[in-house]
This record gives sequence, C-alpha cells and structure tokens, in this order.
Amino acid sequence: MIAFTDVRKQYENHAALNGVTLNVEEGTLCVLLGPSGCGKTTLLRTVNRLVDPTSGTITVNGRDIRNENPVELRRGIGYAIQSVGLFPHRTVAENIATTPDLLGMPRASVSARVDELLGMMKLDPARYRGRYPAELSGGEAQRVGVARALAADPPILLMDEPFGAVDPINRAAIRSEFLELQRRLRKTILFVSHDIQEAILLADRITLMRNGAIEQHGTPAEVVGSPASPFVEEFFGSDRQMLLLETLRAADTATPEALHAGAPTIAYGSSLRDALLRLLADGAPSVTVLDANGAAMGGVTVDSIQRHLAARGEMR
Amino acid sequence: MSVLQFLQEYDTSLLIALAEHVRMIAIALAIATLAGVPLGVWGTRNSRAGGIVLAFANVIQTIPSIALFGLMIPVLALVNRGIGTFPAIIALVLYALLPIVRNTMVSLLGIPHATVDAARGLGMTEGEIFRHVMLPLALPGIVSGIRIAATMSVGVAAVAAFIGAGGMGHFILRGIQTTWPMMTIAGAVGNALLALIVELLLEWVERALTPRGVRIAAERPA
Repeated sequence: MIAFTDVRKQYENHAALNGVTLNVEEGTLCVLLGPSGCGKTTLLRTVNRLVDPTSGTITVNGRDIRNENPVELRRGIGYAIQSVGLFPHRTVAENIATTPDLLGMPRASVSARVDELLGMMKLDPARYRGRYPAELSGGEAQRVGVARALAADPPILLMDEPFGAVDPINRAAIRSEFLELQRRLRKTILFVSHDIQEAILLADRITLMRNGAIEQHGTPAEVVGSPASPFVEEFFGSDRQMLLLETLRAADTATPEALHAGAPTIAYGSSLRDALLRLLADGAPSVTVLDANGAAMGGVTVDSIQRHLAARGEMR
Repeated sequence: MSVLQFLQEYDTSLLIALAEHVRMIAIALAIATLAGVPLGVWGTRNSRAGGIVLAFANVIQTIPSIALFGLMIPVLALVNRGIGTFPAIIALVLYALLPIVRNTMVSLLGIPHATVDAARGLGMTEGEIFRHVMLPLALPGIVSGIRIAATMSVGVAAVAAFIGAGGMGHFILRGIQTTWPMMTIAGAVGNALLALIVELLLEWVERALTPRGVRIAAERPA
C-alpha cells in the first residue's frame, strides 16, 4: 500500500502539491487524472523519491520512504514513463534486464525472466531480444518499457502515461492487454493519465487532481457519476453520462427476465455503454450478457439500463 | 633535383620532422583530453562553471596561433622555456581544449532527459547512470571533439616551427627562407597528408565507438 499524508511540494514560485492525502490500496490500480500542471506527475515521482516533498509523509507498505535509501527504494518499485526512455545503446533484452542486473540477480534467471516478460507483452522473445530500441515501433517500445518496469517483479508500479506515445488503435490494444495482465498480477499501481477513457477502463480508483490538490477520489462510477464539484463535472464534459455507462458493468444490470432467444450477445466484462450501443446498432429489444464461461447469464434492455441508473440516482 | 632525389636525400630528416610533429600533437591531445573531458563533464553539472570554461576556451581559440606563440615567449622565458617544443605543446593544449570541452558538453547535454530519468527511476546510482548510460551515449561525440582538435593541431603544430619546435613546419619555413620550393612543398604536402590520415583514423575510431543501437537509430529517419 502507498499512503500519502498531507504531502506538499513547494518550488521557488509555485506550489506543485498542496497537501495531498491519499491511500492506494494493495493490489489496486489508482489513476491520477487531471489537466496538465495539476501535480499528478509530481505526486507520482515522490513515491520513488525522484522528487522529495517539502513536507508530509509517504509510506510504502508501512515504511516511511524518507528513511529508505533512494536507490534501493527505486530498485524495489517499477517505473515506466511516457517517453519510455529505453536505453538506445542496449538491446531489448538488456533494457528489460536493467533492474535485475543492478540487483545482481543470476544471469540465467534474468535471461529466463526476460523471455517470460516478452511473452507477457506479446512480443516473440526470439525476434525481439536482440533488437535495439531504434528497431521497434512506438507500441513495441512502450511494451518493452512496461516489461522493464516489471522485470524485478516489484509489488508496486509507477506508470506515467506509459501508453501515451502510441497511435490510438495500438493504444487500445496495449491497454486491454495490460488490464488483463494486471488482473493476474494484482500489483499496486499508481498510474498518471490525462485520458479519461483510459482512466475509466483501467482504474479501480480515480484520483482527480487540480492545482496540486485532490478534487475527488473514488471508483470510476463514483467520480463520473457523482461529481463532487463543478470542476469535476466540467472535467468529464458533456460526455459524462456516456462515460458513466462505461464505468458500469452490464453484468450487474442483467436479469434473467430480460433474456430473449436470439438476442445479440456481449462478453462478461462489457460495460453498459457496450450494451446500449449493441441495442441501438442491432435494433434488438435486449442483449444477452454472457458469463465468463460463455453461458447466458441475463439480458439487458433500455428499460433496465434506465432503472439501474435511476436506482443509483446518478443520471442528472 | 628531382622529387625522388629530394626524398632520398632528406628521407631521414623528413621522418624525424614527422616524428616530432606527431609527438607534439599526441602529447598535447592526451593532456587536452585528460583535462577537457572532465572539464566538460563538470560544465554540464554546474552551468556557471560550464559557461566560464567555454568562454575561456573560446577566447583562446580567437587568438591567432602565431600571436599566441609570440605572447608565450616572454612569459615562458621566465622559466627559460620561451621557445622549443614546450611552448608549442602548451599552445596546442590550449587550442585543443575548446573542441573537446564543447563536444563533451554538447554530447552529454544532448542525451534525452527521459533516458536519464528512466535510468534513475530504475534504481541506478549517479555513478551507474554516468558509466552505463551517459558515457556510452556521449562517447562518439567526445571522440568527434578530439578528432576536430587533432586535425586542427596538425596545422597549428606546423606554425610552431617559428618558435623552434621542429616538425613538418620546419621544412616549410626553411624552404621559404632559402627560396627552395621543393622543400616548402615537401613540408606542406607532408603536413596535409598527416592531417588527412589523422582525420580518417579518428573518424574510424569514432565509428567503432558508436554503440550499434545508436548507429541504427542514426541511420533511420525519425
């Protein structure tokens, strides 16, 4: 767990962090969202002491990081950034092996770990190990960047817009692959983003920041559905209602009564937005939500979506 | 006297002059590199120091070599070293400093911030960042500075014949004094050839020291 208590960072003429108190629970992914200059990257960088706060405390798994050696601390925390920062003179394998090598892990196990990580990132080890960063596409480089962050199997990951520099199509693919990976690995992740869709897709919790302070913290459905301030409401814009549907799972609304034979189907993890779009596209009275095994678990209709939202009291 | 006869008669003294020339340059470059690279590194850590070092090296660079030799005679005469190879090497070191310091600074500052940030974030110590990331990436640029300094030094060392430092310049000077074109040409051609060889040799070293991944990046359009 990462716990921030009244963290402040004062630079010469401006305050980057204005008293941030936040807990990132173990095994969850917390997205720091907000306009540029809101302090989200600064907050992220305080965790591995790339930035030392002016005041306040940060504990990682109960230990005050001020008492930790910054270098040792960083070796125990994964770090991935938008511009990737792959070392151009090192091969993909050497890049991924950076932290394990610094930790002095045995060569053979590092090499096996590199292959495992490349496999996780859907990059064929035989083809990619020996390549140089200059020989990778933007998406491949970002996958390698994430693999490098995961290399020493740290319990905590810091990710600063790690998928920011990829084209939209690849970005969607990398995101969902990463989500799948996180469901298996259950790392504690602090993730900076300025992309609302990305935040909703990935986050267990969203922390919306503004001017170095937290504007609202909660699940995507809470933050999108019940904005705590006009700023939050404005941040999600006119799309907010559609975004809210995206934060809600179709499976939670599905009822056996709404099952219709021959209705179009959607996968277990689909959102209400997916369900609605499917209803509209197919002109069907209901869609069938499948469970993880592909069996029909219930149906969703426009009515049931409306009732669900009304029950939440969130569709204003 | 034919060219062949000239070369036969003066082969020994030409070789000696060449050796003197190469020796002066080699010593001067070694000193300038040992001083210039750390100065350049220091200059990137401390921007004030960097500014001062560059300004000093720039001023030296603008003084014509013959004037610098003249200026050094009275000063070094105090220690009885006003003429000869000693002042020549000092001048060569001073001239070589600018390209070496400047290229060291430019190469180090040109490393993307994200690369260094990633290295630090992944847990490298400052020393490891320098050894594993900054130095390998800056090395080709640093060698390029040494190459520029070396090629320039070949020319400056020729002028050093005026203060009795010997070398290939001695042939040029003697040829002019005795109005013997053959001798001047021998010195001049030898000098030009030496500059060319030094240039090619160090270009090769520069390429050899460029990490493969960086070469691939350079060959690809961004």
